[in-house]
Amino acid sequence: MLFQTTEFLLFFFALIAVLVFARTNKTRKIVFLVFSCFFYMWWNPIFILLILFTVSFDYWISLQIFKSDSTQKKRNWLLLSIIINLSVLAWFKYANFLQDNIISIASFFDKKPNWTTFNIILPVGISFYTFEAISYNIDVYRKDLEPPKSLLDFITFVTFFPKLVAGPIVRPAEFLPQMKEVPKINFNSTAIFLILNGLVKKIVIADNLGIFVDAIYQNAHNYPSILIVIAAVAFSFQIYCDFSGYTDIAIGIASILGYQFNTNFNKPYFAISPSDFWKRWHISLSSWLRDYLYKPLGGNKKGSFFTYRNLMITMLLGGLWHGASWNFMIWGFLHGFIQIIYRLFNIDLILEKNKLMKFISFVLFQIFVIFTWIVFRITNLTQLKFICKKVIFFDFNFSIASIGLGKLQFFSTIGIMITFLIVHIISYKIGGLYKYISARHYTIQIAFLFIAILLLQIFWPTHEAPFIYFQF
Amino acid sequence: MIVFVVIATIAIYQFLIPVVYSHIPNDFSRTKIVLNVLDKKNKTYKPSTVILGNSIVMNCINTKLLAQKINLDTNSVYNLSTTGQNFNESVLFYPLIKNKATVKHIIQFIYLSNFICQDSIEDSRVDNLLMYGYKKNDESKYLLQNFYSNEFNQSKFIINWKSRKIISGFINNEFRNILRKDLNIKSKESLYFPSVYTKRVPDEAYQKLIQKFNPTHPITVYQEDSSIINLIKRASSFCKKNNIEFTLVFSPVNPALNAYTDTLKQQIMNRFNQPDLNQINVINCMNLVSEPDFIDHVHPNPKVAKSIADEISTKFKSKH
Repeated sequence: MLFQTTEFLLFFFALIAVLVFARTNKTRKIVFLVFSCFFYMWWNPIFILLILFTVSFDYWISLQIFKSDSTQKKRNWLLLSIIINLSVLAWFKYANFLQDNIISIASFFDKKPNWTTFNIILPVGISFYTFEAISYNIDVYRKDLEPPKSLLDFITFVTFFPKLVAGPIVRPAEFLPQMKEVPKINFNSTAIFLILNGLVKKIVIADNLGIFVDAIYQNAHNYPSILIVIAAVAFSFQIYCDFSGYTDIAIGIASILGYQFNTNFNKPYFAISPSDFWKRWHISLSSWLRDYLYKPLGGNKKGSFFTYRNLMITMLLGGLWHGASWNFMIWGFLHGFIQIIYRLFNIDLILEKNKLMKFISFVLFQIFVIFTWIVFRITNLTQLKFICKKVIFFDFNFSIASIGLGKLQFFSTIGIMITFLIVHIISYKIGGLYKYISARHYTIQIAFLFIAILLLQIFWPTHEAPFIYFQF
Repeated sequence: MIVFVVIATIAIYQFLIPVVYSHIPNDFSRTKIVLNVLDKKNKTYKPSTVILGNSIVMNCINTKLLAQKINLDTNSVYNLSTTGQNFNESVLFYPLIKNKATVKHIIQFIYLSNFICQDSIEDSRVDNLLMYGYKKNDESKYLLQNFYSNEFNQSKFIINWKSRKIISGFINNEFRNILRKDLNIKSKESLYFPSVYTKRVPDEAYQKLIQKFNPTHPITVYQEDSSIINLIKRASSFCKKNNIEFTLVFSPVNPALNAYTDTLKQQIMNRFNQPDLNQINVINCMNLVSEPDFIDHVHPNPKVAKSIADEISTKFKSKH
């Protein structure tokens, strides 16, 4: 069920109606659980069993970790939890990938594997809730968190529908304490404008840019370098607006339902360096990788070589987290590589002192980010090679007027990109557009509400587009 | 309050979009001109012959030239072709033509590929017709039959909602028109010779278009699509019943699209010698235009208007 559909609107109002009658904390949790399961089952009913199994198992393990008196026992239970969680994730997410690669290698040696190929369906949101479950047991192991007294709390937390299928990855230590109080339903203006902000980002910007991006990348051979570069820039806007739009809606809905999530995006395209970027982009994932992977590997405490190694492992696995495909590995590698370069030459230190360098770094790094989005977008390696070649060896063919720009929606794409850029800069300057609007007078709020709904109606694409991060 | 603002905004949108739709230009806005000409209450236009078809017809039929050759008033033969107007869309205008008492003759163009296989009218085209005020009736439903789209039954609210892309369409078309100096956009409103495409596209783009639109394998055997044959029969008998002369013209086909073989073209023409169709006036212009006279894969250069007018007038004279 997508947030921008009528089904979801009906689902949400039904939930609110039921919550009016469910007044105690426990009944509200039960209501959330039932509705969250329904929300998930809308996509594929059978996979709810997988979540319920994983969650119950993790809860049971957490109790074992908590009860165990020796560190060794605690460690063994934790290890079991990690192995089981990663095995489930690996099976559903990476088995097809592994199989394809084995077949490719075997065919290279003229051998044909004689097993029946398996075609595994990837359960929506598995990467998100698996990471939440793993971090939960690590937190219990580290004694940062006590397991909740009832399984209901933990299941409700993991399955909580606003963040179930595409994040943000919420830390149990941040969410579980909130569940001790009865959640208060509150249609506050900040949440409402945050949801509208997300809808406009997703529908007006991301989905419309996606039409142009898809058209170009599906037939890249037919287009000159300039259009491929414009499509790359458009995709960098699209993926930001798509994912941060989803997050805005998720955070807004959670806030209306009485729970708070942390920020997941903080104007990443204003980042001046890789470390700055990862403090701003998909913060819940990058901080998860930092706390549960990079630091346990040793972080930057064991000298330069190990720091670089840890950075590269973290970024490679971060890339692989997005999907079982070589392009994600390359994407992770490129981001790991640029981080190593910045560290190697202490560029972050230089940037602190020199404004001009800061600006140069900003421009160069953002060009790098846009380039890496091409790698992220194109899963077919042959096509990726072709497109990268077209971008690097620019063909200087600017005669694009007669190649069907109208049908490609080229001009509205450019218009949307320029408008987004202007609004984004203004939003950056005023500390968030939705916060600014929600703090203004009632009449101004109504005016913005009116504009947003009118924009949504005019620019709502004719074809429904799922959120990009649903596939991860 | 939020609910009120949301409902008010939707209501305003519903009110505004038909107004916006009828006033801003888009790729389909020629439909508005056609409907205006065929409006029986509109006495300004008195066509005696109307020509229907798609952008190929727009580009290569100069009705003033044609009228001269067949000795008609040069202001009474109208080219009412529009971009993408296939035969199954053209027949929607027939009931309006019937009501426009001045029309005595319909010259219906059809393109080869549409003759082989014709899908239903696209929803967006139906929406466009409805937005410009087209009113379906039993006659249009009868004429279309298999091609009738349920889109005609959609509520006004839904049609208005679906028409939202008019704004982005407007932006894309207007800016494209600024860049495309080779397009003769002004002539799009002409009732006589609305030829928009004037220059041949660059060679590279031309070759790509030929590759894209040439069927993969040569078609040497004509496989009849009964829906389109029945549509022709219904259109013809509708015209006969209403004392309107009906002529079917096969549009020029670019010889570079060589998968449409001469054998196929001949087989199609032979089909019109069979008893069920031999009463219909058919003019074959498929091989009339040579490859250098095409500006892209389908559109002939407006300069070929003379040779097409010659062909049609010759066939006319031999018939009458």
